[in-house]
Amino acid sequence: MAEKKRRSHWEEFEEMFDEMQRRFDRMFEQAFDDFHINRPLMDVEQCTLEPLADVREDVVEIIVTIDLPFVDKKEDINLELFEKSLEIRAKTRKPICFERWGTSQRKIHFNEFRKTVNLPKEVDSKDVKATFKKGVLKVRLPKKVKRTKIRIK
Amino acid sequence: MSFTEKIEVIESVPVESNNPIILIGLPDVGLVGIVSAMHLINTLEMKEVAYVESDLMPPMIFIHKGDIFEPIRIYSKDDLLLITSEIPIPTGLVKPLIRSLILWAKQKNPRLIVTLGGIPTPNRGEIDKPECYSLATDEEAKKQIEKLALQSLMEGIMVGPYPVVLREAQKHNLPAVALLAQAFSKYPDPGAAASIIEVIGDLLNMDVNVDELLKSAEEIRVKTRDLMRRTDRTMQQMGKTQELEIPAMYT
Repeated sequence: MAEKKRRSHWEEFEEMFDEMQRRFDRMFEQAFDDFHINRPLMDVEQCTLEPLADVREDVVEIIVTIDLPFVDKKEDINLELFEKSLEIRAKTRKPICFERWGTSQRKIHFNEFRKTVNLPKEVDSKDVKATFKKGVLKVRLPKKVKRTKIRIK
Repeated sequence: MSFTEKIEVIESVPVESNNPIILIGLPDVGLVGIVSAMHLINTLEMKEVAYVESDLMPPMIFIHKGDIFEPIRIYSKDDLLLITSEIPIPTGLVKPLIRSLILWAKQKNPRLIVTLGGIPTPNRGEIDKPECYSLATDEEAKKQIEKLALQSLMEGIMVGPYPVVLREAQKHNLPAVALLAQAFSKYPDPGAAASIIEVIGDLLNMDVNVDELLKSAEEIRVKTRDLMRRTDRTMQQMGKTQELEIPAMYT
């Protein structure tokens, strides 16, 4: 009985700890999200714009799509795969100009899109495929997974 | 005091439209609503006649050509009214805001309320000219859009401000229809907006040119990235991905 009670306290502690951990994770995610969403999608010093990107994954692959308006040719896109990220740099066919930007109301120009996409899993670099159609870049990255076929009896 | 009572539509110019059609274009899938609203405002030279005031809204104004604007505004031209917003509607504000807007709209005795939106389409990249779908609240609304020969949505789930528009309109016996163009979910989609505008042109029996919109599509895609990102986050909070699920009812 005493042992059961002790275990119960331990379970309670574990539950509390798990809940704390979940709350901490949520707070961290929220804080990171807020930081990300409150940062404009541009780097005025580097004259680069950050494109919109979407990352989806299924069991076998990660699919990254990136919207690249004003980019004409695949030759203008530089894609580099790192261990856990994908870096995209793409030159625009002409400078993109914002006439009156921010509180200083100054004219700013951008010549390039640049973005680093964090990948949720490790990928197999050998079979990565990329296509560029109508200004949208699509990169398919197969996940590094060990697969074993299971026979059903 | 309820949330709805804390939201007020202020008419800066008395709105005396006669039996108007009311269009609603809000930030949503592919920003189709706001992009088509902005194009209609510019092309038809619509004038701002009202805005939404509420302590529940973020403390912000928009500045354009030295003038200041509230984020949620109403425009008018003859018997056409257009409600638009330059901010994604915060999740908690969707229902009280739409209730207030529909109560205001009811006073104008509209002949039809039309929402301008997008429907997330996974293979949008392979579609040259997006198709438009419709969802009408009653027979009267169906009759009014009959000539457009649009495919109707028969099954599915709709999430966001537009389903609230449809339900509130239905509650007040106002004919309403949602127009939805196939669109990129997470990127601004001026092509989808052009499809919606063409349908609106047919509905209003007027030629609304979309050449300029399509010509400036890339510029729109660049300049609305921040709004798209915020809208996407709001849509995620609302559970927008459920639109791709199959409803359990009637299976």
